[in-house]
Amino acid sequence: MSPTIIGVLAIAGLFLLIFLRVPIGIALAIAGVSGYWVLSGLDTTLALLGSVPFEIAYNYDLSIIALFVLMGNFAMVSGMSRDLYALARSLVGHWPGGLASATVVGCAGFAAVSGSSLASAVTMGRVALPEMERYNYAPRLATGCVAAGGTLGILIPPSTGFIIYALLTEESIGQLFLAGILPGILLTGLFMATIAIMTRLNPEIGPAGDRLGAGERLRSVGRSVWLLGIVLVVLGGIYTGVFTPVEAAAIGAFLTFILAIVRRKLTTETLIFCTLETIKTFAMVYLIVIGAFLFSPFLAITEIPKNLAIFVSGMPLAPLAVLLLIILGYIILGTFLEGIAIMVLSIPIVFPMILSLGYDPIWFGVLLVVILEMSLISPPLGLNVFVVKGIAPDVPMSEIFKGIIPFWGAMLVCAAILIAFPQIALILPETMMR
Amino acid sequence: MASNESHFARVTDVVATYMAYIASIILMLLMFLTTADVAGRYFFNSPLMGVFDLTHFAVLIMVFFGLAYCGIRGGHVAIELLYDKLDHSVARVLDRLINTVGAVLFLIVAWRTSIQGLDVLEFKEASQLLLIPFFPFYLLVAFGSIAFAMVMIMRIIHPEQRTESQE
Repeated sequence: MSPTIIGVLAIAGLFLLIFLRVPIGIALAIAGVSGYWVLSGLDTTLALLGSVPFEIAYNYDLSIIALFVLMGNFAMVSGMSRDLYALARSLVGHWPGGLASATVVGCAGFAAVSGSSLASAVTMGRVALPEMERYNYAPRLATGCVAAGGTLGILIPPSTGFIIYALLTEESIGQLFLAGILPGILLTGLFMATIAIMTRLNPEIGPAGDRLGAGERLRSVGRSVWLLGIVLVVLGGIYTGVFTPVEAAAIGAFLTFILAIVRRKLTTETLIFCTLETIKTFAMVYLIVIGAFLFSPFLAITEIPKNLAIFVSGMPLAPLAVLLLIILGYIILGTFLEGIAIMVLSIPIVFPMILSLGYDPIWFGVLLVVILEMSLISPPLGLNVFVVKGIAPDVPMSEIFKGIIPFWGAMLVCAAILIAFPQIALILPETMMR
Repeated sequence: MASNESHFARVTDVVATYMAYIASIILMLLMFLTTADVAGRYFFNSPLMGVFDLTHFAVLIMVFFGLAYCGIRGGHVAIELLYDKLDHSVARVLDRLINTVGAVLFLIVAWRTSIQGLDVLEFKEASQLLLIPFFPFYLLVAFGSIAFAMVMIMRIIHPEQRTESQE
């Protein structure tokens, strides 16, 4: 059998394992190790298993994930989602559909301290959904905006998605983080525009909230100012080169830790909860990464990625057409796989293609994350939808999915804008101090 | 926890939990150390020596002391698709099979990492700045891998104990 056929068989086996609900990291490891064994023999495979797990975990950049997850957990227990929601509400709450827009803005704010889409959806959903229910919002709009807004977690830095992309492609984490900022703001705006259009077409689904007085507004700004300050220090520090992303993550976690203490939200129990949850998430991410690094050496010796890249760049198609086909492929994968899983599965194959087409790797990382956000809310397996369902058990699944469609469209528009104007993603990383 | 739990399952649970506590302490130390390093550099003009090295080791410990806990508390990204359509007994057989393969895989990792560690000991390999020898950390990786394999073996013995669902 040729290496290519073995490679194709291993990829088919990998998908089978994933369908049998084997954790993605273990599935990648099993497929990669067995393929490597067939092609390179037992001795090299055993040597691989003796060195790769250590080498991948002996990693400076990986600490960013742990520290930013810790920061997000501290932010969560200190009740910042409530403050952020109050702030967003005092700004846009009196618009038609204002509570939904406030939810999206709150999610964006929370995304700036958390790298996880699930965490953003859960924390903001718990605060915002009861409020929207009180104001008789259509459940469809309420659940839709939480599920969609939550996905901003992996686009707005810090982002687990960007860190894993950086590890797999050896791109700069700092640049990717900065590249995510403006597209994150753009997508937030597009979500708000979506809400505005929906409430204009059908005003009953999202009545306007009360307009707050100036004093009330100022108070809500005051409560969030520390959190916003932390975000500014973390991202500003990376942009100006005052500290590395690892240092930024540690300082962000430290400041959020102090804030949680000052707010008297940090007890021994919550501290243990925060750190243990962080360790759990971190080990889970590592397992995915190690799987990817056991799979990619095998894939490399099958030469599938290389040949595919040569084939694609030789096709009589414009690079844009190939890019659109790749995006279509991602959207299809997104209907049954989760974002990070799609990323680790596809990057070894897709990344060489993207480079051979001449696209910017940082820009593609941002575009990819936007596309993967769509997978978090697309039926039948959008993770964020299940999270929202968990918070709002009375709303039927079909209703949530109906509410999501307009936001899904907004993400597609965001991807199109990024393709038309790559500078939106690239301007900050290109001007950062290094 | 079910009352028909074996001694093995209890030991695995205790080991995994204590390892996760150690990892948690390392995590907090890493946070303080890195912050102190930056503060030292900018405010006191004296950065701490070797934080770069220590961060590497911290990541290694957090990962391998966290794997078993992660396995027990069920944070793994798994999807239910085909699985839901399977007959219950078939699903259980599959679960056992997958856990067997996973356990074997991580026992091999433990075995090979220990061997690699002996090589490293012989060549006296150490970290760049602080010259901390790598050898003990290879053993640590092996230990963490064995603990993770124990969790999967526990799932083979007690397939009825489903992991807590994803949050």
